[in-house]
Amino acid sequence: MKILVVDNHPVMLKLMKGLLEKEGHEVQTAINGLTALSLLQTHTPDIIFTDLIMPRIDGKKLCEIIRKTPHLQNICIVILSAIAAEDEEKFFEYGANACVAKGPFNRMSKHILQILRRLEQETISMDQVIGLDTVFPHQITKELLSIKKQFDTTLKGMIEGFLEVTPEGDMIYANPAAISIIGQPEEQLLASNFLDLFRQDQRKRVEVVLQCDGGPPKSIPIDFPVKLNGKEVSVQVLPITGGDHRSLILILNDVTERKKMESKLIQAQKMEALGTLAGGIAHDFNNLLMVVQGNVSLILVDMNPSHPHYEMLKSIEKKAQNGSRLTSQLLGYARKGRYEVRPMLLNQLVEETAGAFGRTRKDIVIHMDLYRDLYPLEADSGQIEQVLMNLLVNAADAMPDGGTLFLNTRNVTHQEIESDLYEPVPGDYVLLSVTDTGIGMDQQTMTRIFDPFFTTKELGRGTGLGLASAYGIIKGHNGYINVRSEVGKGATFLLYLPASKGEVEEQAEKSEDILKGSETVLLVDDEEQVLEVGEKILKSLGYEVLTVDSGENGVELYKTNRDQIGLVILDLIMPHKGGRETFDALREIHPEVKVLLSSGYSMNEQTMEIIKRGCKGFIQKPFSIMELSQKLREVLGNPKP
Amino acid sequence: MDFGALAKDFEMEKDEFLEILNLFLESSYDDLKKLQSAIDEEDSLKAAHAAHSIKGAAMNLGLLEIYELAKSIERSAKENHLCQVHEMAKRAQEEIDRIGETVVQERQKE
Repeated sequence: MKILVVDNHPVMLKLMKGLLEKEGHEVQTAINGLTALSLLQTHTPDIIFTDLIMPRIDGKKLCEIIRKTPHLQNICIVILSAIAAEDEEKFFEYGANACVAKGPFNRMSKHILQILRRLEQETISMDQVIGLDTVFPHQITKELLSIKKQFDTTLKGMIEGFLEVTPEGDMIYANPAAISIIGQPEEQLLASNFLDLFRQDQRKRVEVVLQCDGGPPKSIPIDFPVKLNGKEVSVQVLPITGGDHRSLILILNDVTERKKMESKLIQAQKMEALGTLAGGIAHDFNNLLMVVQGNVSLILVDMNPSHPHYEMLKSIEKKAQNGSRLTSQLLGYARKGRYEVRPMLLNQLVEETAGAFGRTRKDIVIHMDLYRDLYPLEADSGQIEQVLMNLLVNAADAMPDGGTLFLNTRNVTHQEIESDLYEPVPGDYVLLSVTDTGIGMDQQTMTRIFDPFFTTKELGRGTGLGLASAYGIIKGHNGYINVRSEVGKGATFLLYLPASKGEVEEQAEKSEDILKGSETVLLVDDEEQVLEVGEKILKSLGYEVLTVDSGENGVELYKTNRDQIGLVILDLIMPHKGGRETFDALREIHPEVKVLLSSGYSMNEQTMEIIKRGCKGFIQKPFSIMELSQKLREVLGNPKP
Repeated sequence: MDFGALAKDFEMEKDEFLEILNLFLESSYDDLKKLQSAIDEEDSLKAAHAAHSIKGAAMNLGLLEIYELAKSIERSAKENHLCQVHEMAKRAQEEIDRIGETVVQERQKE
């Protein structure tokens, strides 16, 4: 018969080899489980005699691997050990056929021959250890074994993957966490090479880490993990030296979730920081535009249209309005938006916007599939229109030679929201998808398209703000925006907005009249030029005007003139006493004070809060004469006859 | 020590038995070295392992004095009495040396 003997003591190997060869058997030996397994790749013996406690894959693990490996399953396994008997190890449970107690070899050999004889006649399976009478008490061995068991239990309970590998990289121990991270059964794992688990491009890094050249232990850090079985994994290497066998302990950590969370956080922080920046710029810019637009409209009121400068001034006024549209994009991105939120019907807005857009690009065919019973939304329709317009313009730019646009709406739940980056808040949503048949984009572009100032368009054509503001506006509405695309295969933008239970009201048509009045208005703003132009506008509308450049002065003036002042226009962002504090102080003087808030930022939570506390309205800078005149009458009521 | 009788008991030729004894001596000297360095490093677990290895082989070969010594060393190491381990390791060394000398004499007889 062909026999393999596995034992880490050379004397035992020699004794067994001598005995078995004398009996005419063909004998191979191995000094541990790892060597045995590599032998078993090319040789299949009839019987294996194996020791239990060995470094580099012990007897128990060897049995289990053999029993789980199809072409080795029929090998008869005999354990050579005394502890198997004393330690109540159920050797047959892990696949051994028999167990011979180690002892003085002259007696042990008789038991071995006895087993061989029985094996030649039949296959045996014995659940009793043979030769126990020859065993000396092994109390101490048991203690050594119990230390091993404590380690085993600890390792099995660890969340981290724990691997032991030889300096060559062969795996000789893997705890359950390591097996689960690697995703291969233990019997395949042990004795195979750790490096083989990695893709070619990752292997070099791992190889370097495994080289133990006596320097400090190396590792693959959490910040820069390797890919293993589709996971992001960090590896800590602990070289074991000083014993009989050098080996490496590898601690594996699955950091996939953590990396995902980190990228979410970084993305959120990036958006937040850029939002603050963009919002700040927009605010200052709106104040500048206020002065430009205000002055121009004041000049125009008094100017005869036949004047040679009339058209030039008209053009300046128009450009100031364009500038204001640009800042509203910035504010949209900065999520300082949500100007006028009310229940609205998305389908209606899609039809109108797409209709208007279609008239400008005749070479683009627009297909609309709008779900009839779509939930209403609670949204600022102006902003949603801005988002849709941005998407349509981008889609058209992706199809310079014409193409087809698909606009779909339908009702979905949070479970249907496709996203790697968000955990959608549970609830009902309305989905608007915008699909084009354009040039599409690659993965790299897709990760950046919502960043402000990122553009693929040629210089001068794109501001890089369209999608960034779309992103900000949708976030501001507690919705989600996502994109699917491949190079050459078009792109689909998916907008998810939370459904509303509110009733949709018909909106009144906006009037274009300039409404006049004669009350006294107190204008509070820290920008001198805004005060100047504001005063002029108000005077041109017939009002008496008082101006102050700070909240403190505003409160002082109101104290002494409260009966005279009909309304206060109050800037929200001022140094020292801001809009909110000033408002509170004014209310203390007169609880029914009429205050119109104004700001270079659009309406935000702070404004909403002040309005809830009794402020009469809000107007965003830069405002036109018409807007301001209407807002004033809204607050003050019809002018006295 | 009568190696002739011991070999017979093991159903081996004397030659063959001497060869195995040689192997035992080699591995035991190795283990003794480890035992010594374990004592120097005050690594009791490593000392216990080295003694355990000597003990197993001594038992297999019926070398009962060495077996008993190795067993005591293992126990003392486990109990962290490295002083005793040091004492007994010296005796084990002498015992193993003695076997070594006998093996050499037996070889010369042939």
